[in-house]
Amino acid sequence: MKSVLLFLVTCLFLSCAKREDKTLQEYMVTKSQEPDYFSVDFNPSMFKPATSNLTSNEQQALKGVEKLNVIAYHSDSIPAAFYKSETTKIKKFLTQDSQYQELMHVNSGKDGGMISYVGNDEHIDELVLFGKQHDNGFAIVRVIGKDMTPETVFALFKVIRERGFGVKELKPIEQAMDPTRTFKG
Amino acid sequence: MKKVVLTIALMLMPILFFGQTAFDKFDGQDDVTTVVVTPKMFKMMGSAKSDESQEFLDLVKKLTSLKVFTTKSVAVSKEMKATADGYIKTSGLEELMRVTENGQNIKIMVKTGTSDTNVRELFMFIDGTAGKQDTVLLSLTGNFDLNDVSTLTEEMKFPGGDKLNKASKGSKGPKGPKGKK
Repeated sequence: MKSVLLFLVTCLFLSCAKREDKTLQEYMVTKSQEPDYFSVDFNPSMFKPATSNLTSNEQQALKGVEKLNVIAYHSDSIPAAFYKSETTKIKKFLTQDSQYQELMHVNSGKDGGMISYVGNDEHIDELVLFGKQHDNGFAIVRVIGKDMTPETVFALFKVIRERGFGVKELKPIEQAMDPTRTFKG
Repeated sequence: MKKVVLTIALMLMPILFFGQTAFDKFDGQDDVTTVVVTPKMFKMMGSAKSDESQEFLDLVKKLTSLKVFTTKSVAVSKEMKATADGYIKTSGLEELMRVTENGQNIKIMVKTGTSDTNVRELFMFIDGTAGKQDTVLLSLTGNFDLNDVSTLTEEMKFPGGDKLNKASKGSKGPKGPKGKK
């Protein structure tokens, strides 16, 4: 009996020790160094071509964005178990870390997406978009800025909706960007 | 040994039950399409300056959460129906409208607040199994007026939104002090 207990305790410790990445940020940094992952940092100037359709208020709001940090895993033959374990891990970061507050999520079978943020009602420190498609892969976008407001968030949604990231995995979440029109597709 | 088992069980309890509502079990199931909009989102939408109509923004401020689950699977539909029936029984929902159309069995229920038209929750269940169509479970919570529902259905295209629209219009009848918009 004792040995069983000892074994269980050891397993517990080992599983704790093996959890290398404690936060989403750490996870993204680790993965950005792995060859299978595609990682890119955007400067908000990428919005320039798209901003023509924005009102001046929206353009102003977008100035609060400092950078976008994207990480994606893409494969035409992604192993189901890997897909499941990684997307579960990411979802855990977003749901168990209390600094992330969820705005919405969509799930369609094995595909889905989630939008969360860090901050309060007036000031948003970070916006996180997470998208997954079981036959493609998954992607996370962190939008970071010092002076982001709810207006920034919705202006951003508008740009992303019009322009997209060109990352297939983010499709589910791009489509959900306009929560009022989620079903008009 | 018993103690250990008990301790582990107790430790796991909150993980299993924390924050679960009646329908969350459908979220993420393979045959289910889910959309969940959290109170945070509604709050943010209501507070952001935007070019949406004022009518719509005012309404958004009165909403707290939206959950929609749809499925084509017959097995999941059955489970949803059982869950919906259980929820209807225990949550103080009153029937607003019941329609059978093209083999779809539609139930629209409301939980009213301070008055007959003050709605705290709008609940819709469409059983699509008989007509081989989607089964839809929708729960919208907040503190709004039944008359607002038509604004909502015009702005957001819910599955079954047309039925909701009819339900809100139909109920305006004798009680409705406001005219049609």
